[in-house]
Amino acid sequence: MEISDRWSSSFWLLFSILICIESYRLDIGSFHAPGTGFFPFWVGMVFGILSLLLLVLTFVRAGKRVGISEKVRWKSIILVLASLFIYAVVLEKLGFLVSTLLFIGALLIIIERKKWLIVVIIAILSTLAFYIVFQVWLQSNLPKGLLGF
Amino acid sequence: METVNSLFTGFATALQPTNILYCFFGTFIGTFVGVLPGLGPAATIALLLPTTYHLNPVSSMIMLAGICYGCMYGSSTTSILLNMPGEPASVMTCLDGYQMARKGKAGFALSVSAIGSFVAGTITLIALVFMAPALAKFALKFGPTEYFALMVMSLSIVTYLARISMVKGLMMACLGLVLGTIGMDPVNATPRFTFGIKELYDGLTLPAVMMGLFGISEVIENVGALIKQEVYGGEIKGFLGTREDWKRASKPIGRGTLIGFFMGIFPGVGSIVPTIISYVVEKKISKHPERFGTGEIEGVAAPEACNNAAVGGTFIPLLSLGIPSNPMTAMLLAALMIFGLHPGPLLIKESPNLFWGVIASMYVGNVMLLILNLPLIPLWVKVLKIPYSYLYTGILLFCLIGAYSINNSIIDVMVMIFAGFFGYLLRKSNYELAPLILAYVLGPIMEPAFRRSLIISKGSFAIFFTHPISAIFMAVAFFMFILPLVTRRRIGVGLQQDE
Repeated sequence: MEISDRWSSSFWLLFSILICIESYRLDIGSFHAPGTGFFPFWVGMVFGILSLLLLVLTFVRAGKRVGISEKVRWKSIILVLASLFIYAVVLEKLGFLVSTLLFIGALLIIIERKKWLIVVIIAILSTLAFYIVFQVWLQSNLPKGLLGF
Repeated sequence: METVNSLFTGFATALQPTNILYCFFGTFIGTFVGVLPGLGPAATIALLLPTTYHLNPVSSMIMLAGICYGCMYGSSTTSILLNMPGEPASVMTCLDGYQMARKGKAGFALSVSAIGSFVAGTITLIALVFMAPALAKFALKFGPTEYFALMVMSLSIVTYLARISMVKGLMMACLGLVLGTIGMDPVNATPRFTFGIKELYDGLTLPAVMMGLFGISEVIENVGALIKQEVYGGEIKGFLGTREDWKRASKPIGRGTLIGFFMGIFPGVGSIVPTIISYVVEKKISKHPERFGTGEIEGVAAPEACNNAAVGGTFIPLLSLGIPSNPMTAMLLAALMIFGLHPGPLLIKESPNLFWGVIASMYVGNVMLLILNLPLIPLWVKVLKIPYSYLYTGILLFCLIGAYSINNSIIDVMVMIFAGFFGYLLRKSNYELAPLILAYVLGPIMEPAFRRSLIISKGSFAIFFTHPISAIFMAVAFFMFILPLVTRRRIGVGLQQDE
């Protein structure tokens, strides 16, 4: 059992309690006339019991801790997530072409540290490729934004 | 006779030029994502769903099914050449397949896996043709009680097979059920857990969730770990093998097929565990078990045949009962519902064209894969040589555009990004995603069945145990829950690889 289990099971315990409270407010009904909150309430109960069980197990089996000490490049992960998030925010405002160019540029330059010239070429080519596949061929209605096409 | 006739009309559908084309697309894309690290069949189906809206359902399903079995062919290629399974279902192929490649027998390993897959695919389809309609006929008797019990059983099997911890597997199933209740109450249309966001009234968009959990999260994981992959550099040759070699491979192919098919039929089993079992069986009955892991052909033939047979097997509960066994078939189920069809025992009667057309196309697709797979291997090796930084940028963009084009809504994109990060955290803390996604898909079907059963029984839970069919399902589920307490060692435990 790992330390992370202790954290995650506590989180799930809280989460399931919240689910139960919310479902209670939604009207549980009764066994012979189950209401809107009936199903989530009971699922939340089972969820809570299981989380508690896992939490208890982390203390009972505390001796058998397996430490995984692999290195995680958190910085890259956060940068990728941030770029995804920013892309989602600006997509409809800037339009597909501009946001995609920026997205590819950001990933390759900031995270992967590729050379500028290569990145510019790749970004333009792949944006065009995506545009042709999704807009021209599959007619996906990508957001137009700034440029108007 | 009726079955044979229907199958012929199925072939007539599958052999229409457009459908052949879609079948080819599906199998080609399937092989491609099977080869590619970081994008599985479930995420791919999610990604392509919005593009199939304007196609007819038969062509779409032919393409999407092609992705499922095509993927199995592709992932064996990376297992053999890279020691890296494209999909978990070919984990076992790595053990002997990669060793064969290192000994210069990559070509033979690849052709055994292709032929094995083909043989398994063919035998399975014949069985599928006869068993699915029979099962559907039987299932027509099912009421909400039986359906609820059946779904409980499927979920219990999935969590039992969860390779890390059953408690965690069950927790994920609960989470899936809770997430499935987001949106309108299916019975009286009261919004639940929507936080006033109008877009959530229809629930979290499934394709967006899938792309997040199985696409984005995997990319994040790879970016965070940055594995250096080594592509097998040597020449790939010796595809033919000797007569003696084929003789050795033939029986394991047969056994793998049987194990894969008969385990795959059970709702919830999926295709990973059967392959593990078929490998273990081969090792047990071999005269030289100590040679396994050093490049034994039996260790490639059996699991490869098995994973393809299992894919065919999982189509039986999917098409005749409407019960998915793994994330991949869960997506197919979602696709059927999006097309406005009613997956379940009535599907064969209501949409015979679709049912028989898809089955016939699987045969066509298997033939196509057999012919195309080996010549395409050099292309896949080239794909694998593309630096990962470019590949993942592309995968992310595909997911972003895919999620956006489901409903042209930014909310879906946000749901996907969040599901991606969340999925990554779950993977990192050893929670399995399969029970989560299955419960999420089954939840909205399970809840009305549960509530209706209780209304019928006037609030007594005994109804689930007094109806005979439902009682059997419940007994299996109960058995699954107590089994790990009794035996301690579970199938599959300890075989998990650090992927």
